[in-house]
Amino acid sequence: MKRALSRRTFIQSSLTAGASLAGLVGCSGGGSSTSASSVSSGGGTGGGGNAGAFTNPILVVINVDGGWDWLNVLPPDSGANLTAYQARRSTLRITPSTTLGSGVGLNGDFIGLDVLHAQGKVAWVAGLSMPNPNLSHFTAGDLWAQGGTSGSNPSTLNGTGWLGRFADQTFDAANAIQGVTTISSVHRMIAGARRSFIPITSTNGFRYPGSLRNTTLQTPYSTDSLLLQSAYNLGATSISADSVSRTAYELVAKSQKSFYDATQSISTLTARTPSVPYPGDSNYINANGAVLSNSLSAQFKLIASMIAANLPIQVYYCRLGGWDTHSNQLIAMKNLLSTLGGSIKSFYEDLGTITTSTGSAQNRVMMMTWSEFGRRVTENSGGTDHGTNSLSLCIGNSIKGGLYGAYPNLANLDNNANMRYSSESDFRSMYATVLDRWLGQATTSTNTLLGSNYPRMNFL
Amino acid sequence: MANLTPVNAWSALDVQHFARRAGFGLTPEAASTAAATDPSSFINAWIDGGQSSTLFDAVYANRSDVVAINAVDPTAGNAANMLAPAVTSAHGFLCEGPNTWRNRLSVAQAAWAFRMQYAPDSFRERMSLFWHQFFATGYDKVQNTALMLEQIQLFRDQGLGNFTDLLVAVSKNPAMCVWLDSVSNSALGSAVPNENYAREVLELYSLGVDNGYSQQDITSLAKALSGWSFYVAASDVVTAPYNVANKFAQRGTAVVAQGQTVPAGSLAWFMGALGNNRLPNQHPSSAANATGGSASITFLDRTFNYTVAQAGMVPGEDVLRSITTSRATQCSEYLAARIIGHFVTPHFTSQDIQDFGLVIRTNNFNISASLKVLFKSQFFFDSAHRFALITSPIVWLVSSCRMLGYSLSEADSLAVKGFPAWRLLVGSSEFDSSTFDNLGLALLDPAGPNGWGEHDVWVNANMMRYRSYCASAVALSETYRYGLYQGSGTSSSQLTVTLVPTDLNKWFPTVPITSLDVFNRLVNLLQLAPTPTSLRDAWLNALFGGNGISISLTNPTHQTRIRELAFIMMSSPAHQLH
Repeated sequence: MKRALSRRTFIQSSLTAGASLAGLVGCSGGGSSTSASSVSSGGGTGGGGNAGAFTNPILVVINVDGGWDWLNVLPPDSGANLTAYQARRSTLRITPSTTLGSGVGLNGDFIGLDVLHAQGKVAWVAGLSMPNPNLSHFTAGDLWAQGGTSGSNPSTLNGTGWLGRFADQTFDAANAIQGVTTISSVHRMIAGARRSFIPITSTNGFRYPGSLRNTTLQTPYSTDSLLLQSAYNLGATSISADSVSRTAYELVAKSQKSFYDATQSISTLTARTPSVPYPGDSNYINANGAVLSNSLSAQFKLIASMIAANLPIQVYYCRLGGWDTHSNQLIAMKNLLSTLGGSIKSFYEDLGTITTSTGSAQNRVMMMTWSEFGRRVTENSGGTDHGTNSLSLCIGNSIKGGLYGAYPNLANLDNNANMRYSSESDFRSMYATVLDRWLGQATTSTNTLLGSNYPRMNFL
Repeated sequence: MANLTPVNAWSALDVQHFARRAGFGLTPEAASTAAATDPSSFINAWIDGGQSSTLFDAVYANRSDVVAINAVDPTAGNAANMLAPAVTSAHGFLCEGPNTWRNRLSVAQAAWAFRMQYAPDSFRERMSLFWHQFFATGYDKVQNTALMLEQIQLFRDQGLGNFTDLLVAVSKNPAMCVWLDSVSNSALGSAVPNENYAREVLELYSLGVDNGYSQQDITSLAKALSGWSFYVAASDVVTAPYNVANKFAQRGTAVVAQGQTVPAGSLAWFMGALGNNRLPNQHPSSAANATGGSASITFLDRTFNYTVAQAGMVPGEDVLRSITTSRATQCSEYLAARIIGHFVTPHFTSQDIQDFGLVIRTNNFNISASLKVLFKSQFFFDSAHRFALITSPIVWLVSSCRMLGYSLSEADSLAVKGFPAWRLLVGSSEFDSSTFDNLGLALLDPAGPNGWGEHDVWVNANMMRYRSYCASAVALSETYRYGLYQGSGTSSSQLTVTLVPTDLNKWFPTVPITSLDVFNRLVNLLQLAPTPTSLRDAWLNALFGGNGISISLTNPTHQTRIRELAFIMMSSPAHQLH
């Protein structure tokens, strides 16, 4: 049955997974069954009394990719854990520069985070664990991404991630970009069934028509975006008559539609000059002589541009890789921690200079890191192999700084000499806390997104 | 159930389906010729290869890169350092051999893309790409283009032989040894083995995550492969002219590190650099110096002595080789799933996997023989599998260049070579390799050892954005002006290059009469998935004013519109499928 679609319905239904592209085919009455959730987005305006401290909150997720050796970020500094740690880390052990209390210290190479910690802006959520951990990067990453009770079976959650399901539930269908990732692929954590996170890897040339090298084409080709609409089949009344390739065709068309809608929303996006130096910049002060990467800096700068442009984006997702330190760990970790800490600190300060009609960027942003696992307690020859449990950082002006979760007992490891699960540090407790108390979800809504009611943590 | 009985006859469209999947496409003319031949003989020949590569080899070595290369200034204060002058005349891709010191990922990516486009043996390049996606190894950690390309050459040389042999060869490959830390894996004395590579062998390269092995098997395999490393023979050490202290390996020689001294002038890998003349002692030679004091390990339910080399093998090799016998079913079915998902369909059943897994076992893990069965089968040619796979961006771009660009001999015979400026396609300068990353397949530079995936991972908003940009480069004759640095004190020059040179007349062996003829020819040439008539008419109306408009290839306006039509087709959903 054919029917006219409003623009709003058009976009909403065209992003409906499994349904045909109603907007593109104009014949899918059944595809638009997903009504926009009535849950309002944004802390402070959400129902359920769990509002964050500020309106229009932004969550910046930082994937510490590769499984970081967080035991060397927060090494034990006293007690039985220190003894066990020193016994198993004869060459790689770290003597912390400061103490967080409770027998835990902070690695002095985490440049920048030490400062933010002293200001009380950092929650160290330690020992994050899951009941059935997996030592594969990819399976562990999927489990972290899904964040559901049936996590070991991806199919039961349709392959969606907890932030993807959050997007499904709260993103406004008429708004093409409310979730953005600054890397070229879309991680499972932000994959929803209905709403798409848009990957944006640069401000450069984010418009149509665009040429590969961002130069003017010699021949005056049509510059109307109608050309792209036509190419992407956005205005066509039917897709391929060949039912065989229809599924694949629709997958492509859906992505093209996302891109096209994004170009309509952010055609004016331009690069912003950061207000402070970032790691990798020539004027950045490199305090400990580490080799710094500009990879995360570049992503933070791009995010700052988008926040300064006041785009209606609630969740950003970025990544710093390289943490799979099977070898050469002493040098690699120093470089990585200096890069991560310095980039976060620069970003935090840069945000402090951005105010839009929506408010102070520094107040609006909370950063949350995650890494798929920690590493084996016992070192190998110069590095560490895959282990269990992880450490996340939650950083921002609303954070109640300090040490959270249950730090593992290093004298009581499992049969493979890995850290054990603790329900006090279930990784989904952190997600629940962020959903309730930062992203403004009602308690029941959070519990639905995560599949169960996990105890909340008190860093927010 | 996968019907693996062979087809007896085929059409030109069948040939194109085969060539899109098992290569980088064939033109309609070539497909018509092939359709007149017996499918089995044609597919055998296609897979066996052996085409003459005389012209290709000459062009690749000396004339393939149409982009000039910047000068490199010497570092100050060392009289032995010297300027490396700009390279302006015709040259090959300077990323291997004596040019290893230049070491630019963009150049290495361009070199391989050029090979994919023009190497006479398309199938070997396509299989090398498959194995690269399978044994994904990254420049980001290896930091050496020559070693990266040496691994790709290994896939060319051994990627169609026995899988067990391939697995052993990859395990000895220098780029892999660096990528997954085999160079740091010691099982000597009290050392705890580095299990990075052993874990990925089981997770990614043979069985699949948690599919028939335990943590103990990982530890055992790590011990067996301890010390698997390489050294760089004296003749393979390349010194950077801009700084004689900088040494690069243009290839590596596999060795099991047991504390030997390397041949005079050779260099061993140590702590992320080439520096030693002695290999570390990492692989035990007896129970006495093995971790835990035992030479006996249990691996996949069998017991081995990993300190003793079996006949014709290095120590530990028999352990690695046992995977395909101890877990023959799991391994063959893991391979079957990867191969079918790459070459046939994303929607396979467990029965399909079992059926093709049996073929692999029946053929004793011979890749070539197994693939011949698959590619000739009713299953492969099933109409349900046509255009059912989303094309990877590399295959999409290379195939498009093959269909719209010049052939090797045509391009080489032009005064200004007609090859795509691959190095500017992959990035705006020799320091930039962002295009393939933005397209979703950062060739030679995956983020992790699991590579990229297949099918639906090739499409998201950003990837589609970059496919459109690439389509404009290919179809719309995009040019790019860049500065050539010629060394301090010499003024830079500005050079303009066409990213993908094309000749409209070559797109039309038969002169089109109407706009509809133009459309039909481009559909056949670009090989779009079936496109609805309404869409066709909308495009032709917008560009030409209708589908029956008279066309002249010499009319500049028509030329522009024809290119725009090719651009629209390349950008359309139908062209992202194969």
